[in-house]
Amino acid sequence: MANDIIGTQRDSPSRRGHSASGAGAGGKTQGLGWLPIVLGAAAVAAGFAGRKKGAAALALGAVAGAAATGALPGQHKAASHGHGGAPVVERSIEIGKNEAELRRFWLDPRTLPQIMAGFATLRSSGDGRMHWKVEGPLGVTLEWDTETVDRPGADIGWRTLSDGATRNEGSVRFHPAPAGRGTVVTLRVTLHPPGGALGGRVVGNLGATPLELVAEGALRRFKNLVETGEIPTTARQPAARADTH
Amino acid sequence: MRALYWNGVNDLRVGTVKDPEIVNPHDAILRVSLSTTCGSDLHFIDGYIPTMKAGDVIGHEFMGVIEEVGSAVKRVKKGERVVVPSFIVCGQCWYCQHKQYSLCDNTHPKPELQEPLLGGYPTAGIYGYTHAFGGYAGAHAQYVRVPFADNDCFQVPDGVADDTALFLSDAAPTGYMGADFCDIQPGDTVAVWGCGGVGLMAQQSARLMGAERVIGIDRFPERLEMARTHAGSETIDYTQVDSVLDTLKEMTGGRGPDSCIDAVGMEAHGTGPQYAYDLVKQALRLETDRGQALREAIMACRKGGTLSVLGVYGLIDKFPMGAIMNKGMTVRSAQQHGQAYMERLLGHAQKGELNPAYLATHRFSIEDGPRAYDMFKHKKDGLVRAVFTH
Repeated sequence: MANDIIGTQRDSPSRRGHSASGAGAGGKTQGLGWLPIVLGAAAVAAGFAGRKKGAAALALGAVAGAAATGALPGQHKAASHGHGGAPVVERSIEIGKNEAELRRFWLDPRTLPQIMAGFATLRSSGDGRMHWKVEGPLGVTLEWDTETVDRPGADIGWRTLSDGATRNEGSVRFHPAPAGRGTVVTLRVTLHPPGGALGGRVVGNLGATPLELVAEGALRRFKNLVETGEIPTTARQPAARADTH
Repeated sequence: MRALYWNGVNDLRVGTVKDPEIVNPHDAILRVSLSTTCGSDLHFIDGYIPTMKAGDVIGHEFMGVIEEVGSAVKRVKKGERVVVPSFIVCGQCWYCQHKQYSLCDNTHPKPELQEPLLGGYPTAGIYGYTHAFGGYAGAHAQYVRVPFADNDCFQVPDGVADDTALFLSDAAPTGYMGADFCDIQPGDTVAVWGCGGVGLMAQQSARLMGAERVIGIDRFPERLEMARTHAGSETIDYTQVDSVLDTLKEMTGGRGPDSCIDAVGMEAHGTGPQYAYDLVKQALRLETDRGQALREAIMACRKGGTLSVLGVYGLIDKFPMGAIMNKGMTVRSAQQHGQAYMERLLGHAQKGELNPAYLATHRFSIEDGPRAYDMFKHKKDGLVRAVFTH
């Protein structure tokens, strides 16, 4: 996945490498309860849930070794802060289709619910409107509604309807990739949970990890869908132990 | 169905699991006829590659008969006898279009587990080989789900036996690719570290591609014998010579091998202080790899030669980058791009030019899976590959 960061400000630390090592709940995310989980870090941690202690130690050992040799990506900084302190992330991916096809596909009401699965449950309510629902542990739920943004010749995306407590906006831009390699798709996501500037700072202080994972995952699944017609999955596959799968 | 699964480090078990089902439209379900052990399985069995989960069905080298196909499958039909390369590929992305199939962009369901180790760029998914490589259920089972069946299932022609087709799933394409990387020219000598399934296939492939001489390096007499018999290789038992480097240099009249292929990987055995160093550091998790074979391959190679790395690695210490740089070497490596080579391999198999069936030294029921892997790991009773009949 060509997920280079383009044009982002660098003023908030990312803990991406750490979260993927299975230690993502540590550091700055500690004590912030369900928020980081809701925002997607749990997707990584869940991948490791149920593994045996020995294997966990091995995983951490290997990754620690990787970090020691500089084999891991550095702690890049990808989240900036938009108006009111809401974090903004921007991620890009190269997709082997032209802009017209990609715009058409993105605006299909069936697309967004599929590429946001794992982060939020989306329900299309017609007229380009979507109802978003993010469920965290302990019964905490965030819900909001968005409308489609379609600026011909410019970006497309979504933004929250004005009456919601949560402000969430996404915009997608398209640039031709060189030498017929398709199109570079850049997704910019803003998420401003309830709580005004304070809530925004809370999310911002998590580092860029959660929102970055949301943006990366959405772009990757969009690419999967557009290029192949499906999203790869290991759902419902056989495994010998229900307690770990 | 019955399946062989990973329950923990050095703890394989056999159990009953639910049958796989069609999940995505391009899926097929394969009734597995044969599957086999691969040396790279030992790395996660021994705990050197993380992200296995207890209960994961293992196995990535297999062939069988199509049982069912998804709604978007067009080419593959129920009842066809097929071989399936170990890497799952979409056939549509930039990498697939450039025949670098194991780098496919669209078949890894959990790239966030793998990206940190690869700088942010995940590979294709693979069957039964850790969640960092996709977490797909493996093929040491009666049935396996094959995504993107039209790209990944290759019909086995009449006249090519199951035993032969089985190894076209992984050992043969991996070895063949390793030889292909060497861009073999008339007169070339190719040295291959490791005379297991992949190393033997690399030696036979180098011969098919016109190598003047092929030299196989190992320590097990029965494997060295296979290299001589089946690949026409000269052989070096590294426990019987003072220096593999000196031996290779003398054998090649002071020039050195034109190409060196590493078919060993992260759990190399060796001799002397360097091997002891690796054993201790690996045991302490200060490096994931024991890399003696790879280091030796680099040092042994002639100036301007090619190093072709097929062994699986994580992090290696004491990597002789200076030798690569100053000798102007070319380094090529990849997980196997099996789909790129399958047509040629099936052709070679049909003509009898490449018949890997001799690798199948021992047969087991899946019920004996843990014992089979133990014998495979410790090379007991001359076992080269354990084959499970389902």
